[in-house]
Amino acid sequence: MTHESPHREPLISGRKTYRQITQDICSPILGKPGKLWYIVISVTTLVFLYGLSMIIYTLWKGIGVWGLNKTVGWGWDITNFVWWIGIGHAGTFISAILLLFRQKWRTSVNRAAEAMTIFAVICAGLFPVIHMGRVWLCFYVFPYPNIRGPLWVNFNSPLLWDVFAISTYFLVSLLFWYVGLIPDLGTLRDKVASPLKRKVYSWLSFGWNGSAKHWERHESLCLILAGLATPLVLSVHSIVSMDFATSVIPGWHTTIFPPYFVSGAVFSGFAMVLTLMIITRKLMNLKDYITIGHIEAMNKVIILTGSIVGMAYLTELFMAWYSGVQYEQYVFMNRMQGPYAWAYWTMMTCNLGVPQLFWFKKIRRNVIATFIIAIFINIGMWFERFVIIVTSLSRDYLPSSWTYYKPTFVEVGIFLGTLGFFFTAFLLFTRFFPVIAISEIKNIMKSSGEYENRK
Amino acid sequence: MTNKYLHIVFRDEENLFEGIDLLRANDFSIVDVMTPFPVHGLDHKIGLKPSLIPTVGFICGAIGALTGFFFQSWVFTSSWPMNFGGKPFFAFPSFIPVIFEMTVLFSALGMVLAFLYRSKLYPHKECSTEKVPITTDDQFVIKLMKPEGEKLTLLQKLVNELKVKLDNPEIAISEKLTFFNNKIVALVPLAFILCFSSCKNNKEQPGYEYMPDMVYSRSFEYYSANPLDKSKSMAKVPPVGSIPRSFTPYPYPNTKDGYEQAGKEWINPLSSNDIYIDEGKKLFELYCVYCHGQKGEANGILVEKQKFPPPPSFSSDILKELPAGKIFHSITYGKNLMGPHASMLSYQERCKVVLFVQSLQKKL
Repeated sequence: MTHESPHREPLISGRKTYRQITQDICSPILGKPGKLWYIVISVTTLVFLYGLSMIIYTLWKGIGVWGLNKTVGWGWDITNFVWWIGIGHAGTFISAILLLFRQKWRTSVNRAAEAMTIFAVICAGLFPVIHMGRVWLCFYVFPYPNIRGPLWVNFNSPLLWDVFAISTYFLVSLLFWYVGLIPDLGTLRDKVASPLKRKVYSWLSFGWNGSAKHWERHESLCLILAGLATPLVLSVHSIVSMDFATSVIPGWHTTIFPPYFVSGAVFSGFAMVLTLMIITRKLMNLKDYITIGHIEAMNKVIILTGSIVGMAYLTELFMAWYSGVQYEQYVFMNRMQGPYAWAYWTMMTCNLGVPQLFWFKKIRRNVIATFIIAIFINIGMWFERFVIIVTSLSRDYLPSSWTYYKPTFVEVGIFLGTLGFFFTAFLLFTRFFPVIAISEIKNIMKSSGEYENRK
Repeated sequence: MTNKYLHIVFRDEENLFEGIDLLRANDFSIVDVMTPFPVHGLDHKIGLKPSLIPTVGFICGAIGALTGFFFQSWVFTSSWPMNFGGKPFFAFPSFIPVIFEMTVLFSALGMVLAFLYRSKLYPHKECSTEKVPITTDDQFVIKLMKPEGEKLTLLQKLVNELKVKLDNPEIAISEKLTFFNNKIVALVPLAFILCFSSCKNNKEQPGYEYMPDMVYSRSFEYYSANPLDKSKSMAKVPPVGSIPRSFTPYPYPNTKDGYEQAGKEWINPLSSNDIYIDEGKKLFELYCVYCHGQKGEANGILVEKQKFPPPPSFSSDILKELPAGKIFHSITYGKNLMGPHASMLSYQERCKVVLFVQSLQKKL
């Protein structure tokens, strides 16, 4: 047995047995959902359907129903894309990077965070596809043999790298999530009562029986997938940032973007994980598994990445002054004082100011304060992307074509719709899949739980 | 295929280890050990070889990297070399992101498929929990080949000893049937047949269209029939007297009188200077030298090869004193065998050619 320092707080509170763990985590799936669950899912489904109708309206009428114009060609669509992709990053960060670092606390949140990644990447992928306008030709972005030459895609373009990065990221996240889920689906298969549910979980669990050889392969597979997903997750947001950084728009054309975007992504992603997990632990009674200690650990990641992001903001300002380039200087003066100053200062407050409260241990360990700050960060990170994209574009080269961009109700509706989809999907996930990795939590129970104290 | 197996059930992984040690010491053949979570050290204990998944991952990743590298190189240097801002065709640094993504994708897919294939896991695989103890909750199970005779009694004795010492291990005997689920395999060709039989051969028919608003233009096609008057095209005849942009009208008609009148009245809007003459020379060398020759001596390549009868030389009596207006008229409308050049040379260009021809007239 490994020896743990007696001062370290247990990761699972309550003196659980293996059977209790199974029972606790499976109970929401075995039982009937409460009234609150039905109310929330009907609201989120309605919002999702509204967003869906706005997407159909866009396809029917064309992109003209959005607020974009000749000067501001990227608006809410790309803002939302980058925001959602960033949110997805926390899931991979928790499940892959923290696995490599052997952070045991990850086991309580990794499954839900991975699911969140997948839903977020689906939401993100939607935006580049619909902003093409002619959605039915979206397969043109893939290099496949065709009768147009064959005309290939431009491998020098970061937009094409994006296609590869996002699709690989989605597939690898999905595989990682599902492979990890197979043993837990096996547990569910052996737990559910109704023959229909048994049949479905039997389908999904691939005949898992916990054989030693399977476990050995499973562990080495998960470890290497984590090793692959780690550089992958760093590459994805780096490539997203290159969409901007390789262009020549002042405010975009900077080398700081890849690390700045990656830390921003993890920052916003952890805020979203916290938002979801604080609700989930309350609604599903999982306070013994997602403890205050877990919340504090995530808040520490937030204060780290949030400070990196804040540092990047200040570095950008410094570089604008230090470079002596008047166009670069103008961009940042315009951000601070121009027509979008309100967005800039919202971003600064939410991302640079509010998260610094986490330096206080009392706030770090306070669930309600954490929840409120997480919401602030979610909003702030959305505004970060909005500020970068829209302020730079709205005042580019020719003052005669400067303009002020406002979204129409269609763009707002599509964004709300993705939020609706995200929460609907997550609620369904909590109802049909184990929110916590059952086998992984059993694995750390003895070394990190209160189990030892029983003797 | 029917095999007889024995299962010994434990409630704790530490007791499981003791059980395994005891069984191995007494020479029982352990088929498998099933646990609800990966128990560390178990693979060494029952003598499992290290998994080959990492090797598969490496090989697949290498295939992905090479595919990415060679495919991009082939596209940009051989299949469709395109100049992007003067960058080299073989732009290796910009291939790196795609190579990296391909490496990760191939490696991950390869490993997962290898894992499922080697472990024989697939959707809806039978896992008969009626005959085998549940191993996904809190039971740790050793699966043994059912021993015969004396060994079975020995086993019973050992387990009873363990029961006293540990927390009640149980013995469950089961027969396990292994068979392949054929239902799913049968569905695969069916899906293929459905997929391919749904294609249509008639390429003229677009099939069922929905929301085609952005495919078909709402405005009328320019050369389509006019819905108000079927005899007319949607293309309208311009109003009388309208001229194209930057077009200079030339008032003299293509008649003998027009020719004479142009000779008397037409004045070249360009005054003669070296630049215009030089530009006229270039145009002359593009359109005129093939018959008229470099210096207008009617010795162009077509004339020398006798493809065309020689035009009059610029030094001949008729042409030597020809006024600018007549030269311009001839270039515009053509003369004798010479075709009209108005469609090839703009008004200004014709003026420049006239200046050049006049410079030849003076030299000769």
